Amino acid sequence: MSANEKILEVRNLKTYFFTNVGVVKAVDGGTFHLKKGQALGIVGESGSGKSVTSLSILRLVPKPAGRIVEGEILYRGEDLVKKSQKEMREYRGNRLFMISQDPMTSLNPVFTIGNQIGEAIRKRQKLNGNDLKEKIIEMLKLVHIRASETRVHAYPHQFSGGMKQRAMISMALACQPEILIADEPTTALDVTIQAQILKLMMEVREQYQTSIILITHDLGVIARFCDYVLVMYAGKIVERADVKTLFKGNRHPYTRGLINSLPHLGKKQRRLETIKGQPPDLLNLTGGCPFEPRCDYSVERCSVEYPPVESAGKGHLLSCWRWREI
Amino acid sequence: MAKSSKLWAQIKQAPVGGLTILFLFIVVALFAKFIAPHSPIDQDITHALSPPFFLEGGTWNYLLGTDELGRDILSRIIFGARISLVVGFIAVAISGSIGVWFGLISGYFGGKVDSVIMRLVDIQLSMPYILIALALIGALGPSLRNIIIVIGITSWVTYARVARGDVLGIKENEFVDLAKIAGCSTYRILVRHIFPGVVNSQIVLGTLMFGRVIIFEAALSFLGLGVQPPTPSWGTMLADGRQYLTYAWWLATFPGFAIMLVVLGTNLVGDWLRDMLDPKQRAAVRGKR
Amino acid sequence: MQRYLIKRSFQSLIVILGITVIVFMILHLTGDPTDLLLPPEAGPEERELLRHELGLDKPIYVQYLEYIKNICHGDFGQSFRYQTPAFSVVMGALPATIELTMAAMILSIVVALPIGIISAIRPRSYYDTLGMTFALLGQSIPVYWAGLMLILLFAVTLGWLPSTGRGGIKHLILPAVTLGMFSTAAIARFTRSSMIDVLDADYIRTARIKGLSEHIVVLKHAFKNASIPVLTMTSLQFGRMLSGAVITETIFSWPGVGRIAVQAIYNRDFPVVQTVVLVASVIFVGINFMVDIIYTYLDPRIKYT
Repeated sequence: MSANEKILEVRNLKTYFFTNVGVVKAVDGGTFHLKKGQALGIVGESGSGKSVTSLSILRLVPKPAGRIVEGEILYRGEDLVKKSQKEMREYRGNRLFMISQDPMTSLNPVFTIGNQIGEAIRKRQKLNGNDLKEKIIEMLKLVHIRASETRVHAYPHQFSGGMKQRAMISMALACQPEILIADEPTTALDVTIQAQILKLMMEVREQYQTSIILITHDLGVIARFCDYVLVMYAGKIVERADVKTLFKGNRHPYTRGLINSLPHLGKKQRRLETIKGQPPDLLNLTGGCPFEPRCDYSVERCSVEYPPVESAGKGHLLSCWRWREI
Repeated sequence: MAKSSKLWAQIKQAPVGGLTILFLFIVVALFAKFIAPHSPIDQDITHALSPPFFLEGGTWNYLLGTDELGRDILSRIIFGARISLVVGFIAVAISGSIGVWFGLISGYFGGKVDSVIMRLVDIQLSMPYILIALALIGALGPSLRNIIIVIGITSWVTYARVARGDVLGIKENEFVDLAKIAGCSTYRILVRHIFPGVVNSQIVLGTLMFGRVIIFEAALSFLGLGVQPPTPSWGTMLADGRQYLTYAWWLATFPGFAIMLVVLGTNLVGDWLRDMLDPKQRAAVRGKR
Repeated sequence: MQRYLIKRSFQSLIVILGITVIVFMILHLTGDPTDLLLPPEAGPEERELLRHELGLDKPIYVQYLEYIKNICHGDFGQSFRYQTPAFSVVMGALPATIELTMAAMILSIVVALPIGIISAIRPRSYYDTLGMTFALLGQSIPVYWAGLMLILLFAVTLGWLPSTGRGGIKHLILPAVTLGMFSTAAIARFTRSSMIDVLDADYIRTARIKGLSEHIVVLKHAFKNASIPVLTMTSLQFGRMLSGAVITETIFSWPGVGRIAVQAIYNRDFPVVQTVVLVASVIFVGINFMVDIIYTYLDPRIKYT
């Protein structure tokens, strides 16, 4: 197995939501890939399609409104879009796992932590009774939960937010997935806890060669953690590059806006820049670039025609009519 | 823009069937005199127990047949709608206005007042309400007025519970504190600031209860302590028809069908109103603890 | 937990006391029972004598206190009509009512839960539409009419089942279906909406992410959560059923407390009516008490203090 092997390839993914009031194109033509051991970041505002992308990979797009209408999701060459829900069960838990945004609500309140981690373990190993319990305790120790012997029997409401997220990570460890998707894993946590959880995820990545997709709106986290970054806006991937290029050589006005709105340490700044205007209304998109109304560089063409994907260097792709001038 | 289109989408989902049933019910009740082909009380023994038109021996003159005294069933159902409408409307108004006040007071003041009112609710909910209503009507005498009063005072608890639940949520809002600081009287705070927040769920509840009250009234009449003969009431018609079930099934079948239709209509409309005005109400039902 | 149990028992006791007050007051509005006990030609002295014998000439609060005192001694009064202790009249009929309500409740739950769960898994499917249409109808059909129509179909027309009386399982079917119809519909609809709420939750997604099979996701992870509101709802249905039994028993001539109560109201047989209401309320309060304890096993978040 080469280190550069693509284990996940997403091609032209389109996931739409068909609602009473219209069609929401939550993901509209996503193409990207993930290599073994890579950490891929996806950034964008809420509603930009980051989470729906990850749910599409797991084939857990909320039914009946949401549907993958087009595209391929190749996991080691197998197209997940064509799998039945029953077949997907062999991938979920074993090869794909996701830690979701809110640890407060992602654990079932009426079962013990041990019970819920045990389910993940039993997916791989048919353990029972004391063997299972020991394995669960081992898992809790791996994520640095103290007094794990008694905590096995605790219910989620007896855990703090950080501990719940650790429990979720221990579930991920129990599954030993090849791809771990983390959807804003630290957003709901205190700043100090955030750092610990991220550190824990880095440990996991190094120890098990797990590929990670990290979804966040926090560019600081991306800078510290990821190798390669996708920037999403209104369901489209507007720019993608390795992390260094993205911060130093970005060419898309939206990416630039995001980075300029970060506070720079050690630099004198009079005030933080922000991106003007409101996020787009996904129900009323025109044929043009959805960022056009908020863009300082917009020209007439931008509001009429969506720009094609163009290459601005090795592994650096973007969609903007005026990127050469930026 | 997005909000108004959402509202429009919900209005478009209106239960046409349910609204039609309720509309027809009200029209029939209001204009019974002009719609009914016969008098609801005039007897004609020569035509007693005549079957509905589609059976052998039935005539177009008596579309749904006649009862044991030769009275036209259709006309009696049409006039019976008046009783159901009147009882349903007034009883819901009475119980709703009692209930909402208890709910407002209980939720707003909390503490001891709340405990006392909630114990009252518990007491009422624990008793087999139909026996209490029967006993009360037995005591007061079976008349339309007494039936309305009894139904009104035995069904206030649901309104109170729902209103109390709403108030507990509204009370946390800043505008309530602001009103207090501004020196509004308690009465004014309750009526001007809190009451508007409970109206929606009370309207939904009132609609759903309207159907229940109609069933309840007919049940009392069915058990013989409701509207007294010869006034046509759906429940009394059912009770009479019961004796003839074996050889004149239409006596009991059609009035019951009328009750079911009207209740179905209120349930459909009530469910729709709930989805539109008060999506959280389901939580109130389970908000026991 | 222990403190909660004590507090809860105390509350239940207050509720039951409140019920005795209300029942006592209502029934003393009902009129003079001596009218019923004496022949119409009886003179006023005779009447006074009987009133004195029955204690009806004392102030009402004294009568109430004596009533409570007697209840504590297990004396619920003599039935005016049967001339036997009211308590034994009611207790004699209670097994029939319990049989009927239990049958109806079991039937409701057994039918309603699968309908509600399957409808929730496939919302807007053919099955869901069919199930919920029936549930809506079930909630709109009055008990008494449902009973009559079932008799018309299964007893009069088809002749498959008896329409009156109590006996074997055949006698139980029609009354139990009649009594259970509303609750079946209500529980099915409520189960569906609770399940739909729960199936939306993040922890259900977590369970699916773990790759658990769909029936474990639905029956273990979702249903245990949804069962908490469903249980509340079901326990309230018991109260409705005790009232529904009054009508059902009358239609099917089922020899239970409901029918006895209706007759007692017609006859102004105070002690029997009081006893029926009291017994029924105590049963209902008891059921709610048990349900509260069951909650603690279903939902670990509930901590009673």
